[in-house]
Amino acid sequence: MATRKWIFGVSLLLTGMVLLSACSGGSKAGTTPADGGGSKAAGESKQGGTINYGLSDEPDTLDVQKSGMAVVNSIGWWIGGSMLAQDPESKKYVCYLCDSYEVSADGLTWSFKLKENAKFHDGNPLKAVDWKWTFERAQNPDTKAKNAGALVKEVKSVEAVSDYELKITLNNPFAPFADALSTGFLAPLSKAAAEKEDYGRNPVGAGPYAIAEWRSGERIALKRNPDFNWAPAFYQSKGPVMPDELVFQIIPEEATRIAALESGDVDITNVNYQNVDRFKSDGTFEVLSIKRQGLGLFVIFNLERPELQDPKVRQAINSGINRDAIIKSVLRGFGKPAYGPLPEVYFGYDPGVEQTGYRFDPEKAKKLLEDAGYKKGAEYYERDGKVLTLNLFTQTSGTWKAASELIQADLKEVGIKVDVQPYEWATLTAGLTNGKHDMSLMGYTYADPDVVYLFLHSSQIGQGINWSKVNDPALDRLIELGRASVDPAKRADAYKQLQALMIEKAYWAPVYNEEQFFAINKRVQGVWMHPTKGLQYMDASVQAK
Amino acid sequence: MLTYVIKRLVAAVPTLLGVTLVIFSMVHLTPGDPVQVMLDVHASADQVARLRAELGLDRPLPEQYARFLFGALRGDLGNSLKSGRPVGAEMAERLPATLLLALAGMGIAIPLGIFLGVVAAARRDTWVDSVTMVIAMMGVSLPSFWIGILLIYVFGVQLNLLPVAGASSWKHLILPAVTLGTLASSVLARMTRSGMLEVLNSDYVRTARAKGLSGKVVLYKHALKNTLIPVVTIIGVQIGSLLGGTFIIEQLYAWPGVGRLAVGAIQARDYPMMQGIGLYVAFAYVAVNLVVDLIYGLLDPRIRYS
Repeated sequence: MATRKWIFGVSLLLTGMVLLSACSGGSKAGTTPADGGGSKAAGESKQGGTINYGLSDEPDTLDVQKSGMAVVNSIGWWIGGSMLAQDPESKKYVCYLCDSYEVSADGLTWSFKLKENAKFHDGNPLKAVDWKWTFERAQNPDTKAKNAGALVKEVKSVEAVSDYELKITLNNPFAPFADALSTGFLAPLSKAAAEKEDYGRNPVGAGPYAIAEWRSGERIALKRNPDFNWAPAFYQSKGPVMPDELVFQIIPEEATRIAALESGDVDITNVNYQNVDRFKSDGTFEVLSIKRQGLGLFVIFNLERPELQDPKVRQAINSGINRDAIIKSVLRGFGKPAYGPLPEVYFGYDPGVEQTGYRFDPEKAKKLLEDAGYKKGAEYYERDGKVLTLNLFTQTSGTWKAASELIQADLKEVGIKVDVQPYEWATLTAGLTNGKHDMSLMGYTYADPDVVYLFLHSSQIGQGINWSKVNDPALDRLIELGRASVDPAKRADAYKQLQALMIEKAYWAPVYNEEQFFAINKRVQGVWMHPTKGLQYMDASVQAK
Repeated sequence: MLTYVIKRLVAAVPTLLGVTLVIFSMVHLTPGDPVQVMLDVHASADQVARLRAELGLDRPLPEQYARFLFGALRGDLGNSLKSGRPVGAEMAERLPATLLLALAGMGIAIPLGIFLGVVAAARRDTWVDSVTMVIAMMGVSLPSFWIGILLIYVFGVQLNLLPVAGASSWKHLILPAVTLGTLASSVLARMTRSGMLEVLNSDYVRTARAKGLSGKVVLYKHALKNTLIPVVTIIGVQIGSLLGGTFIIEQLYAWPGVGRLAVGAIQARDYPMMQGIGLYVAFAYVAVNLVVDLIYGLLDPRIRYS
C-alpha cells in the first residue's frame, strides 16, 4: 500500500485527494493496467500465514476521516471497506457494500440497496443509519475531517430510507463522487466504536482485515476477518481472505526496507528505480508496477514575476528542458515525457498534446528569448543590463533534487541562469504560499482531472495552491465547465480545450510521468495490481517459509 | 549531600525555564506552517482559519508560550497536531524503546571502551596499543549509518542471522545496540587510555608496583579508579544524548524510539510534539548531569558536596 518527504510509501491510491508529491518518486502511485497485473490466479491457496509489508510512512491515525495520508486511505480501505469499488478492467464503479445503486439523470440523487449480510468487525450489522452517521460525521466541523470532509462537500443530505436502503442527495452534480465512495476515507463507521477513546488506533470497519495491533513506530498488524464474504465481484475470492495476518512493518529507511525484503523479513515493499531490474531478474520476486494517478513532475512559474509574465520566456523554458535525458537519469528510464497538465491515465486526457507539446529544442528556446527582447551576454541572456536569473524551488533529496540540477544545466545551455533552492517539504510549501519562488518543481496524485481547479483556478490564489498565480478568465471558464459537465463528451471536450490552452500559454513546463514499482516475494501468491487503487490482498495466500 | 541535591534541583529550575523559552522560540521560528501541513490542499481559507484558532495558533506568541509553560507544569504537553493524541502518551510509547537501546548500547560501550582503553595504556607503544587505537579512531570517524548498513548487509542479508528492522524480539535489539555500543566505546577507549597513561606515571602507582602488587591489581584497582572521573563525565554526556533518541540508528533499524518521533514532528511542524520532546531531552540532560556529579563523590572521596 502506500509523500515526504512526508509523504509516502505505499501503493496507493488516492482517489479523491490531491496529494502533492512531496516525495521523490511519489509513493502514491498510479498504476499500469497493461504492465501491472500480477498473479491473479491464487493457485492452491491455503489458509494461514502472514504477509509482511515494508512500509515507509506510518499513518497518523486510522480514523480515516481525520487523515489526509495516502497510506491511511489504503490501509483504511482494507479495514473499512467502501460503498463502491472500481472494476479494474472496465474502470466502472461497481457495488462493494451495496447490492445495487442508481444515480438520477441530473446526477443529484444516489440511491443504494445495501448488502444485508455485511457487518462490522464488532459484530454489529452495517445498516443505512450507519452510513448516514458516517457521512454526517465527515461533514461535522467538530470532526475536523480532512480528505473525507472535502469528499462529502457536495452532499446535501443523507437519508436512511429503510434499514438497507440509503439515499444521498447532492447540491450539485459532482463527477468525482463515485470515486470518493470507493476510497478508504469514506469507509463506513460503526458509531459505537468510533465514539470510543483512541478510536484512531482501534478502528472498526466492515472490510476483509481487522485491526489486531498497532505498535507505535513499529508495526500495524491486521488480522483476517473470518465473517467477511462480501467482496466485490471482480475478486476471485468472496472472502474471507486466506492469510491470518497482514502486517505493515514501518521501516522508514529505504536501504533497510530493501535489505529486509532480501533477507525475507518482509515480503512486499516498494523498490526504487535503481533496484527494479535487479528484482525483476531475481527469481525469488515478482515485480508489479502502477502508473501514477497524476502528473509526476512539472515546473510551475510564478506569474507575479515580470520576466515570467512573458509567455515567450515560459515557452523558452519549456523548449529548453531535455525531458528524455531527465527520465533516463532520474528515473532510470522508467517514465514517459509529459507534455500537458494531465496524465494519460486520466479521463479527458488528449493524446494530441504529445504532438503539440514542447519538445527539447535549445535553438528554438534561444530564439524565443531573443524575440522576447533578451540579448546574449557573456554566458546568459540579459535585458536592460540584467541577467535572466530565476530561482527554482525543489526538495532536498531524491528525484526532485536530481531533476532540478538537470533542469538547471539544460537552461544554462540555453542561457538562463537558474538558482536551485532545495527545501524540506513544509518549508517549500510555505515558500510557495508566500510567493518566494520564481519557479518550483511540483507533482500531484489525484483521481480526477478536476485537480486543475486546485492548481490553476483564479479562486485558488492566496490560500489555495494556485502557486503559479494564474489568473486567466478563459482557463477559469474551461475548468468550471469540466467540473460541472455531467455529459462525458462535453466534459472531455472542456479538458481537451484546457490542455491546448495550457500548452499555448505555457503556464507549466510538464516534465514526466512515472511508475512506481513493488517487489513481492513469491512465497506470497495472488497479490495483484489494481490500475488505480494499488496492490490487492483479497486473493492473496502465503506459502509456509 | 541531600542539601546539595536539593540545591541542584532548585538551580535546575531557571535552566529548564530558559530551555522552554529557547525551545519555544526555535520551534516557532522554523519556517513552515503546521496548519498547511495538516490540511490537505482542498482546505478552504475558512477551514484554515478555524483550525488555526482551534490550535491556538492565532494567539500572540507570548500567550502561546504561557499556555505551553503552564500546561507543562501541570504535566499537560498538549495534543500532537499530527495524530491528535496527547504528546505525553505518544512519548511514553516511544520511551521504553529508546531507554532499552540506550542501556543496551552503553552496556556494550562502557565495559568494551574501558577495557580497550586500559589494555592500550598498559601495552603502550606496542602493536596492541596501535591496533586498539586505530580501531577506536575508526569508530570515532566512520559514520554510524555506514557501519549500520554494513552490519545489516552482513548479518541480515548475507548470513541471514539477525532481523534488520523493527523491535519485536530481543534479536531485533542486537544490531542497533552493537552499532551504537561500538561507536560509543571508541570515545571511551580513547579517553580511558589517555587518563590511564597520565596515572600510570604517577608516584602512587610506582609505589604500588614497588610494594609488589600484581599488574592487574595496580591497573584496575589503583590506576583505573583515578582515571574514571573524566570517563564518567563522557559517559554522562553520551547517555544524555542517547536518552534523546539516536535518530540515525533508530531510522536505519526502524527502531521505534523518541528520535524518529522527533524527526517526524519536525517534518510535520508538530509544535506541541517538538516542544514536548525538547523539554524531555533537556530534563534528561539535567538529570544525568546531576547523577554524574554525585558519582564523582563516590569515585573520589575528596569531593564533598555542600
